[in-house]
Amino acid sequence: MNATYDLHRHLWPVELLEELRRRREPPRLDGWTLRLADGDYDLEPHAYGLERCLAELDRDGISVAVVSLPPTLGIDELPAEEAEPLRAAYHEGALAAVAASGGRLRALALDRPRDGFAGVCVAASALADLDALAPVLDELQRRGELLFVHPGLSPAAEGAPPWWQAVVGYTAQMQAAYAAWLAAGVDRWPDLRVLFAILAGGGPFQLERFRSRGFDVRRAQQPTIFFDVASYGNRAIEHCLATLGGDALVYGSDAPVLDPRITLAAVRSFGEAVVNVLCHSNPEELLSARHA
Amino acid sequence: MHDTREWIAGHLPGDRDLERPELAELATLIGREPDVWRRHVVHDPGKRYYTQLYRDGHVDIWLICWMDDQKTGYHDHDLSSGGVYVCEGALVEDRFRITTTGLEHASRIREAGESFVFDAAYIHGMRHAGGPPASSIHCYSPPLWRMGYYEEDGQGSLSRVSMTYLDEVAESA
Repeated sequence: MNATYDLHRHLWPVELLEELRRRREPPRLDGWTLRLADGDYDLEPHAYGLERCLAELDRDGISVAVVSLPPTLGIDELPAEEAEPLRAAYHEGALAAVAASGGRLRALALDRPRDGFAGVCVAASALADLDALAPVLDELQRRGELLFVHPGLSPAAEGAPPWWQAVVGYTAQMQAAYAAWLAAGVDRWPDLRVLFAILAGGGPFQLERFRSRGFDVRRAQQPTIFFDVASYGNRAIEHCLATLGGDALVYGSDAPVLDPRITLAAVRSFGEAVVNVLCHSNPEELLSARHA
Repeated sequence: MHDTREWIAGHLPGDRDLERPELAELATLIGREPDVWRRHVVHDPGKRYYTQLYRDGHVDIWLICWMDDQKTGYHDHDLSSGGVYVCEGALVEDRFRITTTGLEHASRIREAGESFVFDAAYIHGMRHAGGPPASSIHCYSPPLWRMGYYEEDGQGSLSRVSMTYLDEVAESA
């Protein structure tokens, strides 16, 4: 049986939890309340741990998860001396989790390519300044590793409902990142494989609008651009499959933030061939290190 | 030697969905340029072989290789119109014909050098006509995603089974 992958899972190693508990300013962990610059979130204890991750993979029939630390924690926004201990704790803990997982986990680094990691996870806003990100992208391309673009901190609007940031803020960030990549990134790093979380916030839905404004959308159809389907269902996935074909999408769950079973059920509803492409062959293509 | 994708991209009539005559013209243009498709040809006695030569948001293009009694079965193309060019060998196109007494089968041969078009709703089946192996170029716009396959449902009735092109590719793999 083919190995199946979830390209978008989050893992907070115990080393990172300890470091977050030591802090007095956001991002910090107070009991199991996560206090971020954009608000407080009650966490389910241990939901972000290795044990839960492996149990859910078993339950859902997924062989391997690619785990990252969500940029929504806001570590990138901290002064370097504050960010560094958090990054170090994540990297140390993630490597330990990968080693303890019996081949079930691969991890993404936070800031730059690192040995033992499958690539780097950056906040969507980082793509707004490709010159600043260039050293990371050059090195990723050279190593043949992937860039995972994920939503970052999104300030809450006053009086907004709790879903506002995730639905309005994150999607807008991801669309901007996708447009930035099409505008200037894909030609500059033609061999770098890029995975946009949450269907790039609906980026592929905008392709007709891109065209209406003079962009040649055939340039969007690059074999190096991938999207994970986290949080989406049959309709959005069908639209992207019909528009982009089967080669561009991969299964990603955003667990444990979201219940992975909902998106997984949507993927499985398309039948075995689509499952094989989204959960197996495209992820293996995306993860195969090809040194430039 | 041409880079297949690049050559096709450079010969598309526009960055838009294509009309049926344009699909036939495109299939013919590609089919008459063996440098573009010849190296992708695989005639496999075990299965009908096909490979995607190009896909964008408006059109996708396949090379299909046929031999012996290989066939598609009756199908439609859901939302996509199509244009086909037979590069070598010969194919038979089967269709349902509605008559006063009900449905009948009708067939016509499609020889090398011939092109034909169909709209999305049209139901047909394609098969190798026998003789030497055949190769054909198939252009679809908007790009093929789902197809309807017409099968006997086990109780003697005709039923439509919706499949994606990925299912079809998986079956041929």
